[in-house]
Amino acid sequence: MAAPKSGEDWLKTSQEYWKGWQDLTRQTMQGIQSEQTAAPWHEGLEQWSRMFRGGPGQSDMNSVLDQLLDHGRGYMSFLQQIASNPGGFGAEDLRSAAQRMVEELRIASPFASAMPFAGSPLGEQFTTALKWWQESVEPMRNQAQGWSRMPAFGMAREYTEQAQALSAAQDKLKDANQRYGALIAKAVEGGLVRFQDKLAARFEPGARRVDDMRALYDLFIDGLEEAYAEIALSADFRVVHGDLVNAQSDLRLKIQRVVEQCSGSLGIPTRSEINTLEARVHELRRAAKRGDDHPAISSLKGEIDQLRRELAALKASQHGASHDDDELPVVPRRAATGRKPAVSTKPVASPKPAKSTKPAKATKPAPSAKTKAASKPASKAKPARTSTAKPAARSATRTAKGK
Amino acid sequence: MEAINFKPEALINEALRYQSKIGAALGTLSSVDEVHFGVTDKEAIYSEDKLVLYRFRGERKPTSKVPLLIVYALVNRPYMVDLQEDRSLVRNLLALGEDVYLIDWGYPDRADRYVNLDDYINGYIHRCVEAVCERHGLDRINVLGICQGGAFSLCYAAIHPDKVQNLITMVTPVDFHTPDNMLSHWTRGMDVDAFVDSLGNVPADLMNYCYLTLKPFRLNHQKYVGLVDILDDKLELENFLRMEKWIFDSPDQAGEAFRQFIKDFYQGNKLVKGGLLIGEDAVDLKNVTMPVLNIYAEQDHLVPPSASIPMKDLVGTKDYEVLAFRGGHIGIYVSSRAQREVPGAIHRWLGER
Repeated sequence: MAAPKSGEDWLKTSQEYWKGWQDLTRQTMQGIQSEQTAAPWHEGLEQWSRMFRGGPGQSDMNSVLDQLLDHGRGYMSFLQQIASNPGGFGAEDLRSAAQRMVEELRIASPFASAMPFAGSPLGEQFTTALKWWQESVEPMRNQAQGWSRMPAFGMAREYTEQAQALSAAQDKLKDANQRYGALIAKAVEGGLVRFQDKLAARFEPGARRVDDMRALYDLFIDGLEEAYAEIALSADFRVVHGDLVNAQSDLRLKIQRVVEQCSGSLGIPTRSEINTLEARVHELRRAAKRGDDHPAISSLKGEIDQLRRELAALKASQHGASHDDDELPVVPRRAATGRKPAVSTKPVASPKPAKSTKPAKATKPAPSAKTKAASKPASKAKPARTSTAKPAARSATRTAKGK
Repeated sequence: MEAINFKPEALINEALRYQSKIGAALGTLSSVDEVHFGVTDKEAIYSEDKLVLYRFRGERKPTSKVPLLIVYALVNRPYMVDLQEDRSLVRNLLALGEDVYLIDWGYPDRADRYVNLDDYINGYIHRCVEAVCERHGLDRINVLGICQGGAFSLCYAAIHPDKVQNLITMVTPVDFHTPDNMLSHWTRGMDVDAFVDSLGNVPADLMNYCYLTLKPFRLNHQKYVGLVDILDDKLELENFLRMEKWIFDSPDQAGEAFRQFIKDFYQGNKLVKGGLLIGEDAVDLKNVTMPVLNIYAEQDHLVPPSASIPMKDLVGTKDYEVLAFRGGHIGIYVSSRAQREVPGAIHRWLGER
């Protein structure tokens, strides 16, 4: 069918299509079978699709449209299957409609490409890696049945063993995929049964009737979801789902190892190297952020505190008990509240000037109810954070209420 | 099974109506405005790495003397609390006189893969609390933790009870091993070490895929069949697209934080069983002695009520209140019922303390 050129064209074409289709459907309902009745109901959607794509400046809309049409096609197929049975529809029709829906959702076989997230960017990446692996190793596997279980020896034994492990991991993933798919199929079967039960319940006296196709469709989805939830919460599913995720992780790790070796042999930086560097940088940053706790800094702070105390004592001895109020307080006022100065606070646009009573970083007061793990090494201990008891917190909260 | 007959005309009309709605999309999709979110004015008052701490500016000055810091989850973007003008928890709280701050975690990348829960809770959250305290000359503030951010807030409040005056948790899981918790059920069969080791950070797409498979038929299909109903309504369509944006605009998860969260919370259920360590700090919920308001959603499929309700018996406070919201995990922020009920309940509860 040629693409319509304008909205008016489309309307005309669409009207013609629907008129013809309406006639055919009527005939079908009357029991007249014709090859033409197999014309998909979603053909109208295809016309939309062609028209959208034909329009200038509509490229950004294509992905939105594609999604809409994908779901529309599923719904139309559902309608058509129900409508195409002259005497109404029965269990087999439902089964068939459900199966089509499931296929469109890619629920039953989402792992056809060995992925639990087929279609996603991650899925594409992994699929590419898997394809590479298959192309590299599969011919070897096919040549030697049982190869993956043969002992390896000689110069290349490590590489052989690695390839065997990869092969085994791939088999494991295939197996996990199959078991997962079987459970999903079971959920779909269960969904059909539930749908039929729900439908039967609507025939009970006083029950709300199914008035239109959307209500029927919603009931169908309800049945599928309930059955899926039951399976998804089963002990079997936990094991199978876990096996699938784990098999995938295992295969991914093994492929990464091979890639690492290849990259390393070519002098290309590897993920492991970067990880090591990232981990080191992160640890340095953590150390910097908790500078208060660093032994060297703690030692310096202790020294400063000691000097302050000595200075205060010296001044006190010089002036005697002079009762000078402006004497240097050894501990800033807010330190007594348990305030910990923000080590790396970087106000972006704080209009508020820093308070004159801002605690000196040298003093790190103790949060009142901080509970430290018993396993904490003494050398790294932050004594100030372990000293006080927690019940103080509530009374402190009460007295500090701002409302 | 007894057959059901629909009238052919009715079927045809329904199919036609559906197709005409699709046709209407040509007009509406090309005319919808760019989707905006995060509608309330705000200023950045502190930043660190990819994190930014914002203070929201309402149309009136706050009357509350103690500011409220919102700690959102890592797994989605926090603008859900300020999605649009008529769907904004933040805006409503400001209108009631609250002084609202929010932590925006940003989008972690590969360089953040070693950021762990200690960094998030004792590091980022603590320094944000300090920054807010500093601005207001206070020793403690009110904290509102949402979802995973609620679990973080509980940990923070247990480790630093002297920094939290009142704690509010929304759709926050505490008991991760209840039988209706599908996410937890699945993660308990996972080798999370191999998972994180092989991925580095956990990709957002993978997280989203996982959420979609919680209700695959409803979220992947029925939702979009229903979308057709509003294709000729520009405003409704924009609302829908804004929500879609939020759902799929997800950050990757820092690998180490993810590893620990799955191991200790989902698999170990350590908030209930004990033994949770954040860095070197043991988390004992009995240390949560400040007043607590726990808000959960009755139809929440991500954090079932059963995961949140046990909080009452685990925290140390005697001042505990619970609010059961009639809605789901997302409806609790954006439904019109939520706008009517949730901000008012929070403000009233805070005002009484």
